[in-house]
Amino acid sequence: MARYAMVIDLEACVGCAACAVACVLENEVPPGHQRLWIRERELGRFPELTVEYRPEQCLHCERPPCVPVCPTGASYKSEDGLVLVRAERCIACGACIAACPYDARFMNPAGYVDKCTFCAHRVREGREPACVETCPTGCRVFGDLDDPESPIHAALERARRVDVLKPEQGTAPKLFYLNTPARTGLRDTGKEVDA
Amino acid sequence: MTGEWGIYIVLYFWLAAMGGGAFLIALGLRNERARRSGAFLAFIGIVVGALLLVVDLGQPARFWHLLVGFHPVSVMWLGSVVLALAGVSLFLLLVLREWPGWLVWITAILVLLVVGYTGVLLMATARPFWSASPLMPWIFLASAYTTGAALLVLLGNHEPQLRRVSLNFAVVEAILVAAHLIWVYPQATAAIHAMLSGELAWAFWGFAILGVALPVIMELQRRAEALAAVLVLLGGFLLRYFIVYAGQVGVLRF
Ligand code: SF4
Ligand code: SF4
Repeated sequence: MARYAMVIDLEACVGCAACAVACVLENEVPPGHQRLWIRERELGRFPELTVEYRPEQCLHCERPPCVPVCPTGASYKSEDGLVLVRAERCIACGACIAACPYDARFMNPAGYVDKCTFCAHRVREGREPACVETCPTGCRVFGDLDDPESPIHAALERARRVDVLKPEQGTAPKLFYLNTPARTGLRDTGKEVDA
Repeated sequence: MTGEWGIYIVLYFWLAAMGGGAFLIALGLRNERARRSGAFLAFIGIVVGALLLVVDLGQPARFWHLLVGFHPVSVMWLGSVVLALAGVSLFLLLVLREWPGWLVWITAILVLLVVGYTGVLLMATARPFWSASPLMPWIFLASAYTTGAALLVLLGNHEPQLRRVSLNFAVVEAILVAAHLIWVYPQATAAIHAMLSGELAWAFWGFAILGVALPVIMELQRRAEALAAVLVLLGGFLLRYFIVYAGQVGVLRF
């Protein structure tokens, strides 16, 4: 079985938000909501200033806290490691929204919970997620952690540093940030990501 | 439909706790009439509360999805089942002339779970104001006792125990709230500032002054019992209001 994951090289990301736009078009995200957004932070002090652009979205956690809280089974983790929502089962109670430590979920006005799916519909046709395909700097790499041939392994190998968001939450995210600028305050989790 | 928890949830927490608390306290009174009115209040609180919960869903027409599946790891699912069972057993108590001892016990446990569950639901989230301390369920339980006693007083029960329960639990509740705020402050700073001096200050200070301090003073001086009881009920509402909203302060993407 596949275990889909994504890496984003923050050294290469220029914060152009092409991925966010591609996501809205691909997934028809309702106005006022995002499945994918860019967090921008100034780091350091003058004259040594740098800006970090960090695209954020659902991390498809290996141990997703949003899934067990769901009272109807609408939220689930698929065989290939994607965390997804069956819209027709969702009662829109909001339990999963409150349980996600990353605020990755939102209520779609159509009456169900929505979030990044890693473009499951494309991935299952063998295509890449829209954000990965669109990124002009190629800083996003999508792949399968269980497939030794997958390009994601090379990207992880090459990286000088690999981080995940809020590792203390124990969620084991499958979205990895490579080469985070040194002063981000993100804890260095080492390179051992392929558990 | 925002996916956040709002006024309906506040009202449900308040009604269920008030009715449930009244029932649990009334069981301790050797007074048949008070026990019956306690069961009635709990039934109303739970039924109306459950209706509010359903209305608050983004998909009210699908609420039955909650009851047909089996998802015992979900706090929300467990809470819905307990709520339904508590409603049924309270209904049985209301229609039975003689209360069998075992049914009273089962109902009491279910009602206790309904009242405490609200706090557990909030704890099972990633919102630090709700989950960074384990005190939330105990705050709700204490408040169920204060408001439950006040409700019984308002309905014309004058047992001296009621005043004691209301007073003692008001003090416990105030201590628990203070401890909770200090405990979660490092992780939920923005929420606490909103409560102390920001957009939720009216609810927090309203609770502290009108809902706790004033009624405690009035009850110590044994004056204006009914007014004190009304203030306690108001305080119970404000408490839930600022807790529910403070947990969601700053839930923004940037
Ligand atoms: S990032 Fe949030 S929504 Fe996505 S799997 Fe993790 S907990 Fe669930
Ligand atoms: S909002 Fe929908 S997906 Fe989320 S916990 Fe409730 S029923 Fe499950």
